[in-house]
Amino acid sequence: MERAKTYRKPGVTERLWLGLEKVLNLLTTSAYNPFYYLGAISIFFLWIIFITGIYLFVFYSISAAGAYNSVQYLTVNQWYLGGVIRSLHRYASGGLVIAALTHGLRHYVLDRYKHWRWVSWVTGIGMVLVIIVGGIFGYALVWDQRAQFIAISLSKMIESVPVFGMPMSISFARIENLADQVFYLLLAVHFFAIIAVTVLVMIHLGRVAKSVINPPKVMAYGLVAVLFLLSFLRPAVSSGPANLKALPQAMPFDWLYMFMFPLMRYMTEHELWLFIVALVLIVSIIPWLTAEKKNPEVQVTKENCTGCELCREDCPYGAIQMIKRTDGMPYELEAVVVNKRCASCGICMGACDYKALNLPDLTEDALKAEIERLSTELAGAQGKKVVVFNCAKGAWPDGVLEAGGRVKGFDWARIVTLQCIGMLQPSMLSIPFENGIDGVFISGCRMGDCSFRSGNEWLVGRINGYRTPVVKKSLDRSRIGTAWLSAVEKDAMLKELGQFHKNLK
Amino acid sequence: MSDKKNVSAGEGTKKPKKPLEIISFIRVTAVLIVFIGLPVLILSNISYSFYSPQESAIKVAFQHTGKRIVDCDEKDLIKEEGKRYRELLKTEKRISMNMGKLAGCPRERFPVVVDLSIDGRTMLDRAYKPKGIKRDMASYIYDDFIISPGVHRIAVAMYDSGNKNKADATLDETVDIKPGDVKVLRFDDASNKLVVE
Ligand code: HEM
Ligand code: SF4
Ligand code: SF4
Repeated sequence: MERAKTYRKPGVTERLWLGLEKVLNLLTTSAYNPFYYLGAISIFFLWIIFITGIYLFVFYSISAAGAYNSVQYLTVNQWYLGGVIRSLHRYASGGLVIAALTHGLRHYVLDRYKHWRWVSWVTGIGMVLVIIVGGIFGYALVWDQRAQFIAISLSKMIESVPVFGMPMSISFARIENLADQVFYLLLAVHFFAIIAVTVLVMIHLGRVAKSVINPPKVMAYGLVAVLFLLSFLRPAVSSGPANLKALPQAMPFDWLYMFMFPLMRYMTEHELWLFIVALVLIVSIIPWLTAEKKNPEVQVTKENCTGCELCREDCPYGAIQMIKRTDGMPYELEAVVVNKRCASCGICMGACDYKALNLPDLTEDALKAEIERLSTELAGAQGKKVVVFNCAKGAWPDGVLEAGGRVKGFDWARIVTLQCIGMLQPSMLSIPFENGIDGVFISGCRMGDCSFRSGNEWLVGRINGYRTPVVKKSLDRSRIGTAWLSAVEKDAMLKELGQFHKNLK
Repeated sequence: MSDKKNVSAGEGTKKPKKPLEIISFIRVTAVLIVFIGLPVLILSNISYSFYSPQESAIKVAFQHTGKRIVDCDEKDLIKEEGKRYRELLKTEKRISMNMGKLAGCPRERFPVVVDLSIDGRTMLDRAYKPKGIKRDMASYIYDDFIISPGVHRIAVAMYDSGNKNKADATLDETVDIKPGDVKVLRFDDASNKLVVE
């Protein structure tokens, strides 16, 4: 029998990306796959930038005459400390751009940027902009030839917009025109960038409940090790001191931050502005350009809600709010869904023991009936029998929905597909056993990479008994098998399933 | 029935042997080097030159205040009005400053026009508007040109009093510009002259 609800299969780029991550998992295991922690890695770099920045600031001379030498002092005389700190500051900034861009690209490729995620998407772009502006001003502070080139190019860009109206180019035309105030301004913008990013990070994560903002310890050590490695391989240095009487010549260029200046060779300032603004706008509205219809949001059946708050606790997007009871029932609170934040993942359904939550296109009753139907259908079969719960975002065999939960060569199994494995409510796990099934197999996304952020993690907690609602103690855990695999690993998933079946007693 | 066996959150059904943390560290670090370290090292350090060594530049860069459009000396007016005020003070009890008279002195200035030709070719003929909402402040003059190194004849005329027939300052000079040099043309307030240096 066919089921009404269907699920999207990953496209080509998505499969390629997941394929790369699959290879990395062989090396790092999913617990330490950096691709699963790119946001946290970005924040880690921000911390390093902030802390090393304080040290650099202490020694920095905010003046046209002193800036270059004060940085040279750190780099040359104090190479063992100031020089290293400067290098860490530099390379953490580079790492930040790489990590943030990869993080954003990953969300795009894996189709995790639309609908309720738009706030994260748009603020993410804002952060990249602020970071790049901050970095450019940082390079200007050094006041070497690279800084001179930046100052001159940036001045032209700024002046070309009448609202700014600041005649900066005159300041940078002759050293006599260059007031120290200019350096205060550069420093202020540079420092303001980190404050602006902090604010944006907060908005970025406003809808992301219990966000992962720190990489695992092992990875943090790894990041520090890489930064030190780069610092020793190639310490950050200045080019020659700025000389306004000469055009800056060949300089070590940071393409991660200064990529747009070379374009000024081919475009006027206004064209470049147009290019930047158009690019930013287009990337910002991609979530709306590509949006397909959103799945219907979860609905609360108020009569059944006891106000236990478990759904609020488990919702990965903070889409459930507990408000004061409005219907006179003897409970203090009731759950309310904020639709625009809701991902329709059903994780809250998995948390609710009172039948108070339902996805309109896959209600608890319908789901339980399906489990029951497939279980009884299978019960009469020979040998050991397994019911499989399968996350639609993870690894699942093609055509299983159309085949009514059957997979060729696995006659002893029936597969129930869920929007997210976190939707699996403990009482649903008991149904197959009550109907004469020998084992239950659970297949969800890679740990650390749940499409809905924490569905798989919460489920493991429920089964292992440390997260409410817990799976009954009386269920034999050796009859529950799991596979945490990505959408490109369906062969591995079926192999694990076969193995589990073979080992069932 | 046992409830002891936990479901693993690791790689699949079997509980993986937890690799030593130091091994994890080495593996993670290796991946980080490839995906973050290497790109950063390479991309943050590619030599680049915006200008070719066979280029030089001339910048026209200075600040200059154009003449008042209406010749009306505010200082004089204030002085005059002050004098009247003090005199009246001796004779009358209730008096007031005539602010309207002061405000009636328009402070708008002429734009500063710069004509620049290099080797007889006009490079610049531009009017720089005074800053300020009332257009009563200095004009900021800035433009730059990339030119080839060598000997060039630079002719400049500057107009700051709205009369395009009579330049308020001129310069006609032959300069030898070395490769990579930046020459700055400006109006020197101290000597009241255009200079190129
Ligand atoms: C400094 C830059 C950035 C930092 C520090 C950062 C940090 C984070 C963190 C910590 C998360 C939460 C991860 C989780 O717990 O699931 C996150 C989520 C997200 N980020 Fe970023 N991010 C940055 C830039 C970007 C960029 C450039 C984009 C895209 C243009 C982006 C798009 C997103 C999206 C769409 C989510 C939502 C994830 C979800 O709903 O599953 N971020 N970010
Ligand atoms: S988990 Fe269910 S019963 Fe508890 S608050 Fe949420 S909707 Fe109400
Ligand atoms: S369906 Fe998912 S996102 Fe929506 S309220 Fe439930 S747990 Fe939150």
